Amino acid sequence: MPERRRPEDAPTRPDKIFTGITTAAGISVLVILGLVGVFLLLRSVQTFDLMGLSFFTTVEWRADLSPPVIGVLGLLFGTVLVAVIAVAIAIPLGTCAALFLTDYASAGLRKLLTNLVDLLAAIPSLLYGIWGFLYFGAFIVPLSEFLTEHFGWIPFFATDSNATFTGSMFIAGIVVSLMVLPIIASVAREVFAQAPPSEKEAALALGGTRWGMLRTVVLPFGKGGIIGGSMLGLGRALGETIAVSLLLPQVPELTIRILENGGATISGFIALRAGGNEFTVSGLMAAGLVLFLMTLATNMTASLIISRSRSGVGVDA
Amino acid sequence: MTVVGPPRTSRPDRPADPPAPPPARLSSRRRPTDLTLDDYLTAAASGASAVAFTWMVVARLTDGIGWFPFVVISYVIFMVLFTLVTADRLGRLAAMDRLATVVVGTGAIVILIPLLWLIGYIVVKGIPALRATFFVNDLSGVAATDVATAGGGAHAIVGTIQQVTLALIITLPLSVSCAVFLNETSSRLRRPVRIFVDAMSGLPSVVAGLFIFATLIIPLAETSSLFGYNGFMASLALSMVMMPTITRTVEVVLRLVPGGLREAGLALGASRARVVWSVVLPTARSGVTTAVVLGIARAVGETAPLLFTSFGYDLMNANPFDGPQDSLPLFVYKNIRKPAEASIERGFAGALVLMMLVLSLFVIARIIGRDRGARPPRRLPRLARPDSARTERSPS
Amino acid sequence: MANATVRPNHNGPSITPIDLTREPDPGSDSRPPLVGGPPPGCASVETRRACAWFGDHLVLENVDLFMAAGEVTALIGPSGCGKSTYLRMLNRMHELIPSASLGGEVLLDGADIYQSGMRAQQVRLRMGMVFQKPNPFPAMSIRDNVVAGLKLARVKCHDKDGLVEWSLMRAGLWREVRERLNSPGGALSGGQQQRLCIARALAVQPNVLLMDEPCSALDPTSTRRIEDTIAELRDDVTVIIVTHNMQQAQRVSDQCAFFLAAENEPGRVVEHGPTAKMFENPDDSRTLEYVHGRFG
Repeated sequence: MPERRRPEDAPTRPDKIFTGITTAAGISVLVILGLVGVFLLLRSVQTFDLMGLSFFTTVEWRADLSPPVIGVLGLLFGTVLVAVIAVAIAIPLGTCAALFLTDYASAGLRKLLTNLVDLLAAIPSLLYGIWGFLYFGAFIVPLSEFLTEHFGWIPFFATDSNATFTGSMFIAGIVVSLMVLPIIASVAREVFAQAPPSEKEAALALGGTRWGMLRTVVLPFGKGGIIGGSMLGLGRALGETIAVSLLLPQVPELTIRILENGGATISGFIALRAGGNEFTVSGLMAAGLVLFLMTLATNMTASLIISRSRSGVGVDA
Repeated sequence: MTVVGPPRTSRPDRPADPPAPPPARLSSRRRPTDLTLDDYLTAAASGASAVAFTWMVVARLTDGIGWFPFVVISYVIFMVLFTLVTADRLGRLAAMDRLATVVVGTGAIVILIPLLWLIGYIVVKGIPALRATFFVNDLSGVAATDVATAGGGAHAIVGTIQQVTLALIITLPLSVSCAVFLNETSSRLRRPVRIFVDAMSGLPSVVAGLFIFATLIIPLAETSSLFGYNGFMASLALSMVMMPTITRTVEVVLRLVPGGLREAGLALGASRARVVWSVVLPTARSGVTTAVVLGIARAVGETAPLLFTSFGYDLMNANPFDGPQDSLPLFVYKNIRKPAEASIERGFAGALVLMMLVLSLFVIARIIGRDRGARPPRRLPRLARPDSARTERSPS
Repeated sequence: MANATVRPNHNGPSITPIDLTREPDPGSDSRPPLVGGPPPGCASVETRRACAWFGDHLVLENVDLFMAAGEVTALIGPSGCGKSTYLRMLNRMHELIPSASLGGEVLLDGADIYQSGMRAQQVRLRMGMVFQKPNPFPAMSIRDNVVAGLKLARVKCHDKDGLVEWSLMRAGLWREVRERLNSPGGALSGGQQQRLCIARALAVQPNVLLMDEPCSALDPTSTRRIEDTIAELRDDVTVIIVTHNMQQAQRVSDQCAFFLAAENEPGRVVEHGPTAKMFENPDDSRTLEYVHGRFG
C-alpha cells in the first residue's frame, strides 16, 4: 500500500488576502471585547479599593457622602426582581403565541402574526418606556390595588397602607415582559417548527386530540428551546435600560414589595447618572461590570442549553 | 452514437372512439374541521354567563373594582364554564383540547393588544404636535414652555442619520468579514471568536456607552474635541451594540447558502476567496441586506449609549466630530422628562417621527427579505384532453 | 439529423409528442478561444495505486486505471464502493473534507497533480466537474452562469457571446433558452439546470470532464439529451462518468471500470476494459453477475 498523505495546496494570492482580512476581522472582535473587559476592570478598581467586598453587600448608593458609600446589592436585587417578573409573564404568553403560530394558525395568519411579533421586537424600548410611564401604568394600578387587597397576605403583594402604586416594579416588570416576549416567542417558534412531523402524525393517528399531540410530542421536543429562549429573554430583561429608567424611581433598596413604588436596576440607575464625576464613573463601571458578567453568564447558559437540546440543533440563538 | 429509430410506442390509428360521456358532477368540496357551530355557541354562551356572573358578584359583594381585575376574573370564570360544558357535551378529552385552544389563542391575542395599543398611543399623542416645521427647525430660541409646535427636531434627525451612518461604516465591513470568517474559513480561531461575538451581544448598551465615556472621553477630551462629547463617540458606542447582532444574523444567512454552490465554484477552478465573493455573497445578498436594515432599525432606537457619549444638544450641529449632538431618541428622552406640558408634547412629536422611522425600516427589511427564489420548475407535460387541438411540447 | 416526432392523434387521447430534434452541432472548430485557460485538447488521466481514507477508514484501495485522451470511461458498481470518492480524487476535491487523506499518484497527461507546488485550482481548471444535483448559481442569469467559470478562474475570452452560444449548443440547451439568456439560472427545470451546469463546465474548455451520476435526478428525456451530449463531446474532452445505470454505461462509454467493495472492505477495481467486452464476456464472474443485474 502506498504511503498515506494529505495533499498540500499552494495558496493563491487572492486566497492569502482573503484569509488575512477575515482573520483580522475575527481577531478584532477578540481585541475589542478584551479591551472592554480590561478597561471595565481597571476603572472599577478605584471603587473596589474604597469599598472592598462590601460593594456587594451594601444596599445604598451615596456618592455624595465623604467618603462615599456605594453598593450594588440594592441595584442587583431590583434588576433580578424586575427581570424575573418580566420573564415569568413572558414565558407562558410567548410559548402560547409560538404554539399558536406553528400548530394552530393558517398559513396567511401565521405570516401576519410572525411579522407582528417581530415588529414588537423592533420597537425601541424608549417608546415602551414612555407608553408605560405616562399611560399604561395607570391601568395597572387598579390591578395592583386589587392584588394587595385580596392577596396581601402573600409577602410579594403586601403594601404599606398609604403607598403609591405607580412606579412599581410590578408595572416595570409587565412593560419589560413585552420586550422579552418576542425573543421567547421566536426561539420557541423556531424550535416547535422543527418538531418531527412523523411523530406528530403518529400521535394523531393513535386517536389523540391536537392538544394531546402537542403535549406529548411538540412541547417535550421544544423544552430545550423554551428554556433557552427564556434565558435569552432573561438576559435581555437584565440589561434593559431606558424603559426602566423612566418607570422606576431608581432609588436602590432591598424590597420584595413589587406593587409599591420603588426599586432600582443597575442599567436604569447608570442611565440616570450620565455625566457624573470621576468617582461616580468608577462606581458605575463596577456596577456595569457586575451586570455584564450576569448577562454574559445567562446568555452563555442559554446558548448551551439550546444547542444541547434535541430541538436546538440548527436554531440560531 | 445513439440513433433514434422510428417510434415504437405510438398508438396505432384507430377508428373514431365514441364520444366520451360528460364528466360526472363532482361532489361538493369541503374542508373538515374540528370546531363546530356548537362549539362557538358554547363559547359565546359561556362568555356571556361569565361576564354576567362576575358583574353580579362584584356589584353585590364589593364596592367596585377596576376594569382590569373584572376582565381577568370573568375570563377565568369563562374558561371554567366552557371547560365544564364541553366536558359534559363531548367528554373530558375533547374539553381539555378545547380549553387548550382557548388558552393558546388568548396568548396570541394578548401579544397583539399591547402592540397595537402602543402604536396607537404614540400616533394619537404625537400627531397634534407634529408639523412640517419639525423636519426643518431646531430648538434654537425655544423655551421649555413654548408651545409644542415651536421649533423642531431637525437637529435630532440630522444627528441620528449621521451617527447611525458612521456606525454603519465602521460595523458593516467588520461584521460581514467576521461572519465570513466564522462560516467560510476553517481556522482554529473560529470557536473563540464565536464565543466572543455571543458574549458581546450580551453587553448592555448602556455599558457600551459608559465604556466609551470612561475610556476615550474622560482621559482624552482635553486633548482634542475629537474625543469630547460628540456624534462620533456615539457612533463608536452604537457600533459596539450593532456589531454582534449583524454578525450573527449574517452568519446564519451564509449558512443557508447550499454547499453545492460552493462545490460547483471550486470545481470550476476558483480560489476560496473567489467563491465567497462571486458565489456565496451574491446568493446571500437579500439576507445580508435584511440583516443590515434590521441592525439599522435597532441602532436608530438606541438611547442608552448616547447618554454618555453625544450628550444631547438643542441646536443644530452638523459636525459629528465636534461638539455634543442631539439625536432622535435623546430628543424624545429629554423632552418627555421635562415637567412642562409643552415639552412633553414636543417629545411626543419626536417619538412619532422615531416610530415611523423604525416602522419604515422594518417594512423595508421585510420587503427585501421576501422570498423571491427561483420560480417553481415547469412540470412534466400532461396527457392532452380529448378535445384539445394542440398538445404541449416537452419542456425539457 | 434524426428527427422523430409523434403526430397528435385527434381521434382520442393522444401521447404528447417527444421532440428529439438535435440541437445544431457547432463542432470544435467554431469555439471561441480563451486567454489564460487550460491548454487545448483532451488529456489522458492515469491513477497508480490510488488509495483514499476518511479519517482512519480506508475506502479505496490500489486503483490502477488509465483513461486515454478522447475516450469516454464509465465507472460502474454498486453504491458505496468509492466511485464518487475516486472521481473527487481526480480533481482534488477529495481534500476539501477535513479528515480525508490519500495515497498513490494521479497523473494528468503524465504529470502528478498532487506534487508539491501544484495548485489545486489549476488542476480543477483543467478538469471540469458536473455534480449529481444540478447546482446553477441562482443569483446569476443563464448567460452569467455559463461564463461564471471564466470569472471564477480569471480566464479571459474576447467573444463572450460566442462562447455562451457555443457552450449552450454543446450542452443541448441553446434552442430552449436563446430567448431568455438574462433570466435567472434557478428558474429552469431539473434537466435544463443540469444541462446549464454542463455548459458552464464546458465554457472553460477543460481537458477532462468528470460527471458524478449526472442523470440520476433527471427524467428520461433530459437523460437522453445529456447522453447525446456526452457522445458528441469525445473530440473535445476526455469524459469520465460515474453511473448506476448500466444501460447508460453501455450506451455512452468506450471503456468501463467495475468497482466493488465487499462488506467491511475498501473499494477496489475488479475489472476494467472495453465496454462491449465488459458487458458481453467479462473475465471476472462478479462483473458478469453485476452487469446482468443479479446484485447491486
